Amino acid sequence: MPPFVGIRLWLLVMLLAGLSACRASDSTAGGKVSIRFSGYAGNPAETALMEKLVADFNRAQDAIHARYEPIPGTYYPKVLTMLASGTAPDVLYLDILYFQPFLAKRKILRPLNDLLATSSTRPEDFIPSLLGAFSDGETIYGIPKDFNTLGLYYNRDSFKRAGLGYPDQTWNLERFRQAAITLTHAKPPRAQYGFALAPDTADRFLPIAEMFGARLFNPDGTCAIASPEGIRAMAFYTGLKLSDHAAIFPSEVGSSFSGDAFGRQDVAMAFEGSWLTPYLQTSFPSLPYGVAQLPQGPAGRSNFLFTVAYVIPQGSRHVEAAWKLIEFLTSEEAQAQVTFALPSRKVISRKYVEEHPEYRPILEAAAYAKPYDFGPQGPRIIDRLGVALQEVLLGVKPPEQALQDAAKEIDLLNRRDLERGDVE
Amino acid sequence: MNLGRSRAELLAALVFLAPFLVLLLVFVLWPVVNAFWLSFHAYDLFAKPRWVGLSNYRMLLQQGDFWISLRNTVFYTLGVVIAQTALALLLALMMDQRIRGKTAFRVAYFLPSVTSSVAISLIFMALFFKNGILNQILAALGLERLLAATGLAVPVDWLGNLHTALPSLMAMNVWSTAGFFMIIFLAGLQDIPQTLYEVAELDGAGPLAQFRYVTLPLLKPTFFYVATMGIIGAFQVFDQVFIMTNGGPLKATMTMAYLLYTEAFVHFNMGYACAIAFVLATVIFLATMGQKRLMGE
Repeated sequence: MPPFVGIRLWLLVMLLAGLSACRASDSTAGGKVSIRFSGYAGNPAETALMEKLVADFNRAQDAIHARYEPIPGTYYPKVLTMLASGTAPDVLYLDILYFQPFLAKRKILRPLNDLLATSSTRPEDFIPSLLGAFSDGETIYGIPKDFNTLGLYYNRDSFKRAGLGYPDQTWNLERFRQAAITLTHAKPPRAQYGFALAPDTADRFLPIAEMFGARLFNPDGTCAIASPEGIRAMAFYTGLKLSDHAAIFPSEVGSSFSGDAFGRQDVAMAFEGSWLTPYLQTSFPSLPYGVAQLPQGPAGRSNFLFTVAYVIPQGSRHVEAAWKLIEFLTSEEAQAQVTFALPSRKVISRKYVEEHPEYRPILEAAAYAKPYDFGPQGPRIIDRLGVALQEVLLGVKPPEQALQDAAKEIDLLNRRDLERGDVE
Repeated sequence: MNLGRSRAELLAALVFLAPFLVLLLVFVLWPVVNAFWLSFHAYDLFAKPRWVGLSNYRMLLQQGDFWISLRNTVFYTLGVVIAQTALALLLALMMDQRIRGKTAFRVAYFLPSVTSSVAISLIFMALFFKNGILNQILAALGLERLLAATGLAVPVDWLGNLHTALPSLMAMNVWSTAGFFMIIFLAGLQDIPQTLYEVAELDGAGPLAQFRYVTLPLLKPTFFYVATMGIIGAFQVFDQVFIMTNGGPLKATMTMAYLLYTEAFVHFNMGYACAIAFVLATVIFLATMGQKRLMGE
């Protein structure tokens, strides 16, 4: 219907303009090596800090010029497409969930051991579980940028109004549930619910499943989520909305994620990482909130390490320069400026929590949290669990059947992986 | 002499056509041929394409997602094309009358079709939220009870409910495309010679008979165009799904184009995605042929 020819012409012009721009910047301009660096642009605080750090890096030396090109929206489709077409930046963010899928494509990631060997950046300065998460045996593929675990964000005013004591380390899931019920008053115009429950992502459900004693995988690698413990956990988690009526979906109140619903005071509690803290400070500066560790379940505590590393793709033509940038970005000075996550260096993260006590529960959970890594099919497995969660929440399947179906398909995904010897 | 001249003309024609032909070749024909070739391969953009014969097509027929997306797309297309054609005709007939502020109305109805679908999607998301504007209006009009009687949980989470998500997208699309087709119908209406109506009136035909025996038959070519373009557009629906629902809840709004996108750019099954593309093209072709037969063109 629209004038297609006009659009194509325009695209061609843009393409040519883009190509010439690439050529101008790709070579060494003015005796400087030009490199590009991309991360996802989800968090304004993070984008702003990265812009500042890259500017600092460019000022600090005159051999390399780095350009920061944040990618908004769907990061991995974009990055993989760039990698496949040989146009990828020299330094990239890599989320822990995507490390193994990337590793399975052997030619994507460049091992960093040789660079580390002659560098002032020492592996032992980093929190071991983070560095280990981006390693395959002895080979290190990424330097952890920072990390998060989930914390229980709570609204102090709501707790005071309801006459409840603030959450602390003695809280268990049952106490959390009772609090969510007490905090819910669904009468408009100022309705507030106890908890925000994202219906399609499994990252909040998985810790709860483990608190009930469930495991995602058996020792032999088959999926174990449909165990009695997993089913109980699913019934508990979805029950917060279905039977207790103490939770809502963020989308129901027009929020894109739990933290936003929490900021707007549509809910009194949310499970979020410390990425929420700068968001609350800028968008809802007057909101009185606190952060506690996630409650414990019948089988104890559980949490996950959501961590991101800097990696260098195999195709980079300026490995030395790219490594210099990574060294700078993971230096103590740079890490001390992070506000949306905890620094990956041991010393800095400890000092950081002394100065910002509201991040302490996030750091404490790191002691027992596991990397959010589920193998080469990780993203698809997490997606599939999200589907199971949604099936229960929409009343399509009971918890038992939803989890059994999910486990079957997850096994299928992993088996196909083994047979082919690669990921799709 | 004559031959030389026609050769010169041919050359001139080719020179003038060259910019377009080159674009067509590079950006349309070559990708189409390449995609067809890829649809018989396993290809993830990284490893070399591996010949797999018809296995992509076989997998397609076995995969539940494909059938779900086909069903959703056909349902979507039928609903959207019928509703938008009827609405567009109605609007065009109204705009063809002598009413005040006609131009303002025409502009208002046409505006959605020149607005970015992303912007429209974002606005409609605000409309469709559980505590969004639509539910507030329904509550104010006292229509909530009527909805509750149909078994929906009120207030309705329009985009999050298995039964209302796809119809909500359809309603939005009818709204945003009807204006465009209204303009086409208007052009068709104004092409009908006024004398025919005068003759019909002399023969004693009332307004209804005039519409039935003069307007409708003479609008037939326009109908065909509107329906064909509508079908093609509806079968390819993608951006609204991508922005508003991501194919959810539980694949209730998964369309063929969206399935194609996830297979190609999320899971990097390029060969498989190409196979979907060719099945989609075949479906559109068959639907257009069927519709042509139906309208007796």
